[in-house]
Amino acid sequence: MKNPIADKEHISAILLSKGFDPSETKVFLRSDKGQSCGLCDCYVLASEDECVVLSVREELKALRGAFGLSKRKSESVTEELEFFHFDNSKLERFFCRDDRMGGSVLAVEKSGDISLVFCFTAAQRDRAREFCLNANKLLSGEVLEKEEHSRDRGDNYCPKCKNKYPDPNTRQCPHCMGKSGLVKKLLPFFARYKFSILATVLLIVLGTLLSLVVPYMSNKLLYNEVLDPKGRFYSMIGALVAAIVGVSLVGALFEHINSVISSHISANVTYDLKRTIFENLQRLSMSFFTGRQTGSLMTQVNSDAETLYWFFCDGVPYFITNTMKFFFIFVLMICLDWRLAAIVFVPIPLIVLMYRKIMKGFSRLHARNFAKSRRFNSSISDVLSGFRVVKAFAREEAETDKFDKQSRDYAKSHLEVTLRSNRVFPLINFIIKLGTLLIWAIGGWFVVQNSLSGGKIGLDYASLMLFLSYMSQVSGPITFLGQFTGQLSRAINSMRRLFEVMDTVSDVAEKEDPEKAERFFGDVVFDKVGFSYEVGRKTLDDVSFALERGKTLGIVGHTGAGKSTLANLLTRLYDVNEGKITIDGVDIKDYSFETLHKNISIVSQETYLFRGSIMDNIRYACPTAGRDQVIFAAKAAGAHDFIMKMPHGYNTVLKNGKDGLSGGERQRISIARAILNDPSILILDEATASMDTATERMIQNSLDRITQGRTTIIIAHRLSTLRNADSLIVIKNGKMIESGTHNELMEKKGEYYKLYMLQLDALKMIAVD
Amino acid sequence: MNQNEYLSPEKVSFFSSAKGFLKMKNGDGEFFVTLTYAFPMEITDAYVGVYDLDGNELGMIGALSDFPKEQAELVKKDLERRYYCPRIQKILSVKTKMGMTFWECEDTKGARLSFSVKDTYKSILRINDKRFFIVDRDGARYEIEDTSALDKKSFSKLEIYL
Repeated sequence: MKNPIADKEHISAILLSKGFDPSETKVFLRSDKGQSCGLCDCYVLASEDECVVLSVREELKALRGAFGLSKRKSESVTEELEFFHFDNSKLERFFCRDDRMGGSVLAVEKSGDISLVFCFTAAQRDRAREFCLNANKLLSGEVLEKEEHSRDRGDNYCPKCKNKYPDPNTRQCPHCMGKSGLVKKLLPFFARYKFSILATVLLIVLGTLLSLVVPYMSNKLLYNEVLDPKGRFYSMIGALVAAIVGVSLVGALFEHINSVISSHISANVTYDLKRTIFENLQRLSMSFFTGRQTGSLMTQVNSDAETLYWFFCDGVPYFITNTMKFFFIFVLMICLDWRLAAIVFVPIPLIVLMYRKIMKGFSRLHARNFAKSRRFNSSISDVLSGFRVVKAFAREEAETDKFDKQSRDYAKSHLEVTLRSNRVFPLINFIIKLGTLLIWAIGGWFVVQNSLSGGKIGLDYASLMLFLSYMSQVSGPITFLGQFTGQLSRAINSMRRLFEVMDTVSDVAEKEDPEKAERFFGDVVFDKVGFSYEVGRKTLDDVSFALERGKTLGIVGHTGAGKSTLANLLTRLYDVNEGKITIDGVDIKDYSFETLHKNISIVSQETYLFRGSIMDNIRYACPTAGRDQVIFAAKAAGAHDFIMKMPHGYNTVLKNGKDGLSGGERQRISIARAILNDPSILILDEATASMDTATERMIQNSLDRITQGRTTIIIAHRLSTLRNADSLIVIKNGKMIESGTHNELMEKKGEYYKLYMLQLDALKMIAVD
Repeated sequence: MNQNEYLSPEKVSFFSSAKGFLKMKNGDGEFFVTLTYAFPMEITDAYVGVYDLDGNELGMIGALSDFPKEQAELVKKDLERRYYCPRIQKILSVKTKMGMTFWECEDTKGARLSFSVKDTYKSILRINDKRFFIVDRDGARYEIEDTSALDKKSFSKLEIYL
């Protein structure tokens, strides 16, 4: 086993001086918090015999050279803060204790006492848990494979820069994902429109050239050739005006065609992006959506797609136009008079820098203004949504005062932005005007020189007018290019967010060439199944049971025991970490998703009904089902009666999935949906929890009929729901502690018996009342 | 309204085990304990929940001053270690990438703090006009005790998000 801190000679030296050889390390972790010294580098190394914890603070100090000038060299200064040593032979096990800001790893000694081993912040939580797992293996004498440097799930750290991915599902590193990476990802979307893009670029070039021809015609040509008696086109004013109009029209036509083509390309590309993202979202596993507000995700996707649309529709064409215009004007002005051109162009970099600094300051003000308006608006929305509570507790005045304060705050921030704009922009305009007047003055002097020298030196009047005309066109591109970086930055951020969603890899993937089956027989086996949502915290541990086809299994346990997780695993919303699940002898990972989902229906406690009619919701899994079948399913679910009492019956449209339905009514529609699918395996996960006992009893008879001959798993903590189950299992803290029939479990007088008696007592008390 | 029952120094005592772990002794025996503030942002010398290592509540300390000085200090030390929260003294840079902000700061001890924050506007918790907590993407917290004590540059980087 190689020394895990081989590259840290000074740390190795300290440990050797304390009597610990780093090359004997079997488990290693670098934590970030000491026991009593706050944030620091905390090296935790465990060998077969001992465990040591060394906390240090490492700083790089720049070495100053002569005259106090800083040299490039630096030296590392290590300050030893804490050192602890543990004898493995005295330890029983390690365990993690989660604290509010992170946690600590504790060691339980054989004497019964507990020692604090090391602490960690939230960022190191997964690594610390993995350390405990591996260190406990060491204590129990298990041989560890190779090196066990604690890593959480291995894939969550960027292989390049070793930083943790912001989101383990997407595995995109913000530090390493450069802008060129984004461009490469975006190119395929534009590849289809390469000819249109070429046409756009060509039109932009021609349009720009034409826009620069008009000033030439209306200055140089007009004064020197049309108004001058010696000119080639003397007195042909009409023809000149017609030519100018003609050129302008052609230029406008090019611009119009260009904008049409750009809009098409932009709209199609953003449509393709959105479709790709939505398709990818459908393929993702549950772990992506857990803990994420999916509504706001799609809002963000739409908003980002919109940003990109306008960027490619307006931003990019204008960027190309303005860049070309700037370049052409620069060349033309140099050709007219290089001295005047120098006066115009030399200060430009300074102006651009100044402008960017000003805009940066403004963007800070705008961002602060935006944040205040967000807070203000969400506060109003909050109060208005909860107005019932405000009135119930007579807090109207307090809320008005709060509103007043926030409103004044927002108004003050807004005023600051306006006042600053009124100070800064007129000043900038004045400076630009001064510049123009300077050019007038110097240019005018050149014209006088030209006139006095008979045209030998200086500049003729027409050229000066042309120069001034081009100069007036320079400010537009400069302003645009100054603002473009902000637009570009927003577009890049939008692209990054969109690709983050697009590149998300599902951790539950379908096998290549999966097994397909029209209908399952329904033999389900869970074989030593283990699962955890988070590393180091088992939700299910070594759960094994078999359910014969056509039989009903009841799963019982307290809230949070892991019952619903069994259902999630059977439907492959998540994959098992240990063991396997088979249906009809085949591992469920070998089946296609379509086979699984067509043959298994799950009714859970949280119902979700889509926008649409009740009929559409019941038919969701089976869009081709006829009305008779829908009514049959609704009757079986006990939903038919209340649906018929609604004014539009089965055609009643549900908005936001509610529309005045109670929890129990929504639940019954959800059950009807599952029944209509006619699955081989039916899972009822607390399906009647939202119902009163009378309603539950009413549909229980129907459910009994439907579950007869169909493999059914009923998860409940209300034991009356399980009275007809063929077998029962009890889950506690993720472990299956009991299994058997109702009578067998009652005789055992174990956990099931306790639960049963508790519920019976509760019912008796209600009867007494 | 009924009054809360708090742990009484007559019935309960706190002490360190041989290995330095905090224990509580009451009528039922001795327990290794975990302490939790009820109001961690506001009050740090009162309303402390006492739990055993399985997470069962053993009681609540009304005020640390109710207990003898040595015991109160033991409890306080344990709480400070658990609730250790770096205090930001200087904000060196705040960069935005992929919708997250990446912060480089210095704490009051001069240690460098680097962390990233998702949903920055929502992740900055306001205690009062001058005191804030920043919660990073792993849930770790960083305190800004007094915004007026920050230098101008640091404050200008922060104020957009306040």
